[in-house]
Amino acid sequence: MTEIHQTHKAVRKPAPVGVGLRHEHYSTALLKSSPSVDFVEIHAENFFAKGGAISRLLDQIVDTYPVSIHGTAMGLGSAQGISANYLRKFVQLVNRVNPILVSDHACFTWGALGNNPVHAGDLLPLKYDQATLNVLVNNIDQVQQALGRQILIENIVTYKHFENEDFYEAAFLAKVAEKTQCGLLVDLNNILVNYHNFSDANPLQAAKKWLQHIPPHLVQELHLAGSTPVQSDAYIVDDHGQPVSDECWELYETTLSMFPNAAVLIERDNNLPSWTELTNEAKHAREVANKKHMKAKSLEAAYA
Amino acid sequence: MPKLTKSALQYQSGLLTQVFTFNNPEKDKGLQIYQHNLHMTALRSLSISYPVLEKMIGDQALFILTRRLLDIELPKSGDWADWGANLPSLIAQSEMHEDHPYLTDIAALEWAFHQSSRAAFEDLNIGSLQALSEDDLTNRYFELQPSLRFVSSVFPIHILWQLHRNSGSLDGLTNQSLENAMNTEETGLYIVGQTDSSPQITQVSEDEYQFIQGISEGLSVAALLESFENIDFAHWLTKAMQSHWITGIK
Repeated sequence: MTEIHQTHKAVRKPAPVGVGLRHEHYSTALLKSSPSVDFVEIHAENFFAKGGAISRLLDQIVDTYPVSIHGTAMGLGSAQGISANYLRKFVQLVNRVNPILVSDHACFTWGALGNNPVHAGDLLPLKYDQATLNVLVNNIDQVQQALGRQILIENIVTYKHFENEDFYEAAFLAKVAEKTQCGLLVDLNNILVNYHNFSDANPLQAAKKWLQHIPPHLVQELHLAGSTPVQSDAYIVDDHGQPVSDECWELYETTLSMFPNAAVLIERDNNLPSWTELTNEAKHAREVANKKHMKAKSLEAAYA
Repeated sequence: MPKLTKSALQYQSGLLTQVFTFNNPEKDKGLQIYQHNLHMTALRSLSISYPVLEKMIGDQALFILTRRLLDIELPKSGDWADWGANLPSLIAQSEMHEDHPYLTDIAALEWAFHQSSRAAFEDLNIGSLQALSEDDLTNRYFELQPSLRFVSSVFPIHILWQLHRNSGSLDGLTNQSLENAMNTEETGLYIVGQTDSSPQITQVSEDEYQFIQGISEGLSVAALLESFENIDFAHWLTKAMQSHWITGIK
């Protein structure tokens, strides 16, 4: 495995910071745009309806915020291929919204049970081998062609551990991105959770090492989140049910010099706080980035 | 299929089979999480699609029905809002049907409402109605709003559904209000459809119901007028336009 060491001299303009927009926050969030939020992320499938209140709501969201569309069901690594019907709806949504970013996960969802087609309804883990790499590359090519634009792929939390895979996860994703010209959405919490669940190594140190396998230019977005604590013998579940963890904030600070232009998103899906609390986390992410930016600038000035 | 793709497919099919086999006694904690996630996501989706039914039967009963529904209806579109069409028939076969036979029809009404609420609304092409003045209507057909659904029941399900929908919780409903609802005279025939603002459930007469079903089955305007001599066509047309059931004539 070749590690890629970043040698950025300075941090540039802070990247946009957004939050995931969920049903419970619609009324507050859409009253007026929040100054703490540069964009909101919506889950694509929640807006597949052809008409009715959902469709009108989408117009309201688009009128209030720049939007990032995040798919949760496309299953880009599905060997069965991606449902044409699903892809058609996804393309229609993207064309309607014209989002700032489009993303989905490096996972599989489509398959069959006997002769019956099935969608997993969850993000199921890929094997990081040559066969899966080919599948993922072909599917991403198909989606990017259908959309006529670049997508970002996100690393997931897995609850299944494979021995002797062909690729290290980060190197696998980097290879896929290089072959398809897609970008990467790096979920910092997902890296940490996987190390908590499947490794004896210090999760934070291991996660920092993970990130060093990713060429910086590929990373266009970061997800920050927290998970509900569990007993020591149980797996942590990626439930986005807590504020961003201290460990995740620390990892985020590390990434600021590695991926200075990557958009940042605070993810929360369960146990939702108030809109103000959520946007305060976005504010905090911006303050951390600004502080780093100022520090880098003063260092630059000192050495000029 | 290339050999490499086949090996990826083999692994993925194997894991999918494991996830959907709930009664597998040998499951590791990872598989348990995937199955729990599946069950809970499916439950959440039914809570959204069937909010009134959930209020009526409670979340524990819906939890059990969700698990059973996953055995007979696989999610397959990638959008959970499309999953759950078979819940009414599952309820009809369940132990709750004997004591609460109206629940099946409440569920059918709610599914129709859910589907209509997500469907596109089409404006009426008023100009196309001029075709009704033609002498020969054997090749003229009404076009229906794509969201239209038809539901029938021997129970007054509309008032029951509305009563539960408008109440904060079951505790807020008195026995008297439920009894009154059960004794309400309804035709038991309902047309559910999207309007320009929100989906509507309209109770209709037998003739109106049959007439509009005739349209959906492809009867021409001439055939409809011949089959339903007793219907007041002018009155029906006004109602169909006001209710946004029709979008024009082709």
